[in-house]
Amino acid sequence: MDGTTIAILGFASLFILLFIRMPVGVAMMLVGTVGIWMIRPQAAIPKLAGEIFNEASNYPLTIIPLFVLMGNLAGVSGMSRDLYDAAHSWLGHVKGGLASATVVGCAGFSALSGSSLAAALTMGRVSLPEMQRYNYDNGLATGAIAAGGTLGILIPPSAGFVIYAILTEESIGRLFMAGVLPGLMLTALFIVAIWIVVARNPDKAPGGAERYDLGDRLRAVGRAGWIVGIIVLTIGGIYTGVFSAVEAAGIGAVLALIVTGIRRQITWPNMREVFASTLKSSGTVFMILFGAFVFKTFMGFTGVTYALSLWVDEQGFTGMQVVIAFLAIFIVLGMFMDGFAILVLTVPLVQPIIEPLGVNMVWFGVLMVIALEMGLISPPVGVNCFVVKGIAPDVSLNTIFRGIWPFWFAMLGAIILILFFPQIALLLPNTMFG
Amino acid sequence: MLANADRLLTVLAAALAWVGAAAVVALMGITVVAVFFRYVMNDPIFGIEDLSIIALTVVAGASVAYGGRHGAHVSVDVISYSLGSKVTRITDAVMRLLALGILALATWALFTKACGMEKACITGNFSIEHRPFYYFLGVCLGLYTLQVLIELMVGIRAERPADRESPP
Repeated sequence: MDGTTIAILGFASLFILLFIRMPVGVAMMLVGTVGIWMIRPQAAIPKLAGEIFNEASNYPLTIIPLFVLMGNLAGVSGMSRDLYDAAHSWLGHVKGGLASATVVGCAGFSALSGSSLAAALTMGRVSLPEMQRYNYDNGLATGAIAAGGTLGILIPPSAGFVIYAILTEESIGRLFMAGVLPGLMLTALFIVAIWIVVARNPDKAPGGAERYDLGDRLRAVGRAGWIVGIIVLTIGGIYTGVFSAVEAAGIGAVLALIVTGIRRQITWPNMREVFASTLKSSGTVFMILFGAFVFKTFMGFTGVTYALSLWVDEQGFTGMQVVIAFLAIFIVLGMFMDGFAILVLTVPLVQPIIEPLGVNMVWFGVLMVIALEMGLISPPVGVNCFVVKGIAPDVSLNTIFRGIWPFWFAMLGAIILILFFPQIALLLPNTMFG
Repeated sequence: MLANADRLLTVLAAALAWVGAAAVVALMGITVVAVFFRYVMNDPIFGIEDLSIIALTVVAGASVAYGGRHGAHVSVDVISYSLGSKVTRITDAVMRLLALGILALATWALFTKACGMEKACITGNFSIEHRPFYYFLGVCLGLYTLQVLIELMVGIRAERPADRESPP
């Protein structure tokens, strides 16, 4: 059997295993090990052990547990609540303002946490009761939370970017910086989407909160100063080159711990929750990476990526055409598969095809992460929608999925803008790294 | 017997959670100390990255085992929407059997093929041997294997229907 046939069989087996609900990392580990054994039997077991150890001891991955810890501390310390309150005080009184405040709150929380689920869950708990109190349409309210939460994997620190960087051997700092402007742009597009929805049907946001005077607004911003300070220090530190991304993660986590202490929230139940959650989230990422690297080695052994890149070259496709085709595939895959699964499954195949075509991998990483964000809210497996369902048990899943469409199109708009104006993603990393 | 195994696993997972949490705190502390000495004292500590790598390895192993115990590992669930619980009971059993196989193999590989692919099985600065950390990862994956085994048996015996619905 030639390498390409083995690779095709490997992918088919992988999809079957994923279909029967095998955890993504375990499925990739299984297919990768069997595949390597079929090509080079003597390498299979040492590679399995070696790849697990290599990823467990991969220094840049230090970012994952530290940034997850920082996000969890921000949640228990009440910093995320302050962020929402600040956004609420400035935007809450305008039509659709509570939904906009939710999106802004999610964007801010995303700058402390790399997890979309954490952003949706934390901000959803705070903002949903408020929107329901003012009779917001359930679809708009839950859609804003689910979509706002997706900013977690675009705005740095982002677990998605860390995994992408490890897989493609790109700089994590460069990718983090590349996510900043697209993240802010997408936040603005979400607010525009809310504004359009409410303008077309004012009944979807019939009420608004009372208007705060300037003093109250500034005080609300002041209370959010801790979280803003940590964001500025960590992200600003990376941008100015004072810290590496790993160092920023450590500093951010310590600062979040200090603020939690100042607010007297270092209690046994809180710390139990914070560390249990940090371990679970980190474990999810590490298990996927263990499997992904065994699978990546298998793909390398088959030579299928070389064959594919030759085929693409022979067809005469341009880099832009191939990128658009891949993005369309990611968007469709996102409707059925988890975003991280798509990331680790496709990047080892996609990179050798697009890199020789001159595609900037940082730019592509940003586009890919937004496409994966679309998957997080797309039916039938949009994970963020299920998270929102968990905090809004009285709202049907159909209503939640109907409410996400304005935001889904906003994401599509963001992809189109970044496709044709790559500087939106590349300006900051180029300014910083040259 | 299953109940006893389950209790044992609860205790072991809790112990690993302590180890993992301590390693996260250590990782945070090491990173901050490194930053302080590098930027404030202008005197970088030689080889401190080695300590980060060791702490990270402990975090990775403990978190994978703890995540496995608490159902944190990501799986794609389309099948339960389209097919009923009778079908997923069978597919889950097949899936868990296969998962058990590869996880047991990985555990065995970490014990028997430690340092198999490395030229020098030590850290770059302090020459700390990698082998014990391969074994630690082996223990962690072994616990995850045990978790899958328990879920497989519970699923087959259908003692706890809720468990049949959740993949390992």
